[in-house]
Amino acid sequence: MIEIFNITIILLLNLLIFSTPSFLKIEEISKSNDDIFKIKICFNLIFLLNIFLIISFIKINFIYLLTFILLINLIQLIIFYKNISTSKNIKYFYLILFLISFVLSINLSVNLKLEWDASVNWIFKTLNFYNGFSFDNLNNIPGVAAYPHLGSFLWAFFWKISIVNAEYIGRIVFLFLFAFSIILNSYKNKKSLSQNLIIIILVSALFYNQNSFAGYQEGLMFSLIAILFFLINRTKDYKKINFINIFLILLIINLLLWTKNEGFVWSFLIIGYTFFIINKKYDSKILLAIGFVILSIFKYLIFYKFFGENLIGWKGYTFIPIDINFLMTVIERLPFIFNSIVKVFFKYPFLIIAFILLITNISKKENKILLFFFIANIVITSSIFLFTDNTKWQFHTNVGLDRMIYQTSGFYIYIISNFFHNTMGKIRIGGNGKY
Amino acid sequence: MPRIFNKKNIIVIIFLIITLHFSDFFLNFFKLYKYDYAQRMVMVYGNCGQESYGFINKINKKYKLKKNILILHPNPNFSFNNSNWFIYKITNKYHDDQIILINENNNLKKINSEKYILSFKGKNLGQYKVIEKEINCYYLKKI
Repeated sequence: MIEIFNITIILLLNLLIFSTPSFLKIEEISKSNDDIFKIKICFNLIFLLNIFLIISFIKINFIYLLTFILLINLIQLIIFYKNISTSKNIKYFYLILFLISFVLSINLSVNLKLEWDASVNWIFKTLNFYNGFSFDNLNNIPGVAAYPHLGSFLWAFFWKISIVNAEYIGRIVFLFLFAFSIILNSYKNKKSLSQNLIIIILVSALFYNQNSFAGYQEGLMFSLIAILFFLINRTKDYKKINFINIFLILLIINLLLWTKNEGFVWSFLIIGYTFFIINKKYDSKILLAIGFVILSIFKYLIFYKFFGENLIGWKGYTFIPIDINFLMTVIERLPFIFNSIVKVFFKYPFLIIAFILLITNISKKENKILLFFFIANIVITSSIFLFTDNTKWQFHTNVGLDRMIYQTSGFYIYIISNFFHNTMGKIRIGGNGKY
Repeated sequence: MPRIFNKKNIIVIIFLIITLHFSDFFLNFFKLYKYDYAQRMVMVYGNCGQESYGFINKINKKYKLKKNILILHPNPNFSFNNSNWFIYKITNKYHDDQIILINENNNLKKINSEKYILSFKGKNLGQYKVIEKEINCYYLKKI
C-alpha cells in the first residue's frame, strides 16, 4: 500500500514541478486562453528541465534541489495567481494527465525490467547521481561516459526523493512527460471531456511502447520532441518574430542534445522542419540556426573536456569507407534495411496511420512538410545503419532502428488525434453534436 | 437515474473499464498491493536464473558486502552482464577474493569437497571455496 501512496505522491510532485504555468507574459494570438495556458506550462517545464541540467554539473543534495524547484514554482504561482484560469479545460487537462500517468506508473511498478543499454549504461549514470556524485564523476563508472546524462539525472532525482527506495520510482517522470506530451497534442478545448478522454486513451495506447520506458532514453526523447512539435506549430501562428517561442524551441533543442547523442541529428532535422513551417520569418530562422550552432558547440566542448570525445551515434561508430566496394556494400544492405523498416511500421502501427493520413491529406501545406519530415526521418535513420562500417550492422539494425524511429514519432500525435476527433465528431453519439 | 449515469457517461465508463482491463491495470494493481519491491524484482529477474536478482540480493544482505563484487554470468545468450547494477556501489572498489557466479555452466571443476577450480570464458581464475550455493548460483571465496 505504501508503494501506491508513494506513486501518487511522486505523480503529484511531478504535477507541481512540471505543470505549474510560468509567469511569463505570452503574446496572445488567435488561439484561446487555454492554449496560452498550455504554452506557459510548457515554458515552465522546459525551463525547469534546463535548470535540472545545469544543476547536474554540481554536487547538490536532492532535498535542497527539490526545495529550490518548489520555491521557484511557489513564487510563480503567487505572481500568476490572479491570472490563473479556472476553466474546465484546464482542470480536465490536469485530471487526465494524472489518470494516464497513474495507470502507466502502476504498469511500470510491475514490469520492472531494465533492458540492454539501460542495464549497462543509463542505470550506472543514475546510480552516480543517486549517490550524490555529479557530472565529472561519470568517467569513473561502468558504461559509455560520452552518453548524455539528463534522463539519468531526472531518474536519480525522483528515485532519491521517494519514500520507497525503488529504482522504478525515478522512471515515473518519463511516463509523466509522455502523458503530458500526448495530452498537449491531443486535447481539444472545444470538444467534450468524454471525447477528449477517449481519444487521449486511444492515442496513448497507440503510441505507448513499454520497451522505451525500460530505462532507455527513447521515451524522454519522444516526449520532448512531441512538446517541441506543439510549440513549433504555435510559433507559426505569430505574424511577427516571437522571441519567447524561439527561445523555448532552443531550450528544448538543448534538452535533446543532452538526452541522447542522436539528439544532434534530430535537432538538425527538426530545425529544417521549422524553417519550412515558419516560412518567411527570416529573423526567427537566423536566430534558431545561430542558437543551435552555439548549443551544439557548447555541448561538444564540455564532452571533449570531460571525456575526450563527443559521440553522435553509438560508441565506435564509423562510416564505411568510400572506395570501390562502397556502392556494392550499400546495394547489398538495402533489402535488409527495407525489410527492417517494414517491420518497424508493423511494430508501431501509428506510423502506418500517420503515413496514410499524410498521403490522403497532401493538399494541405503543413501535411506536405510533415510528410517530407516523415520520409527524411526514415531515410536518415536508416542511413545510420546503411553506412556503418560494422560487421554487426544487421544486429544493430534489428535492435536500434525501431527505437530511433520511435524517438521522433511525437510529431505524428497531432495528425492522428486530429483524425480521431474529426471521426468522432461525425459519429455524434447522443445527438448533442458535441461528442 | 442520477445525472452522472446518462447514456454518454455509461459508454465512457465501460470504455474505461475495458481499456484498464486490457492494459492489465487491475492485475498490476493487485501485484503491486500483494508483493513488495524485492519480490517483484525476483519475479522479473529471477531468483537463480536469468539475471538472478534474488540470489545476488540475498548475498549482499546476508554478508553485508562493503565493496563491489564481480558477478560472472556465463550464459551465452547474454552479450553482456545485466546483473552488475543490482548491488553496485559507486564509491567502492571490488573485492579481489570474492566472486558471485550465476547460471553456472561447467565453470566449476571439483577438486575435493571444499575446493573448486573456477574458469570463465576459457580462462582459469584460480581455486575457490563455496560460501553459499543455490541451484546453480554460487558465492565463492578465493583460497
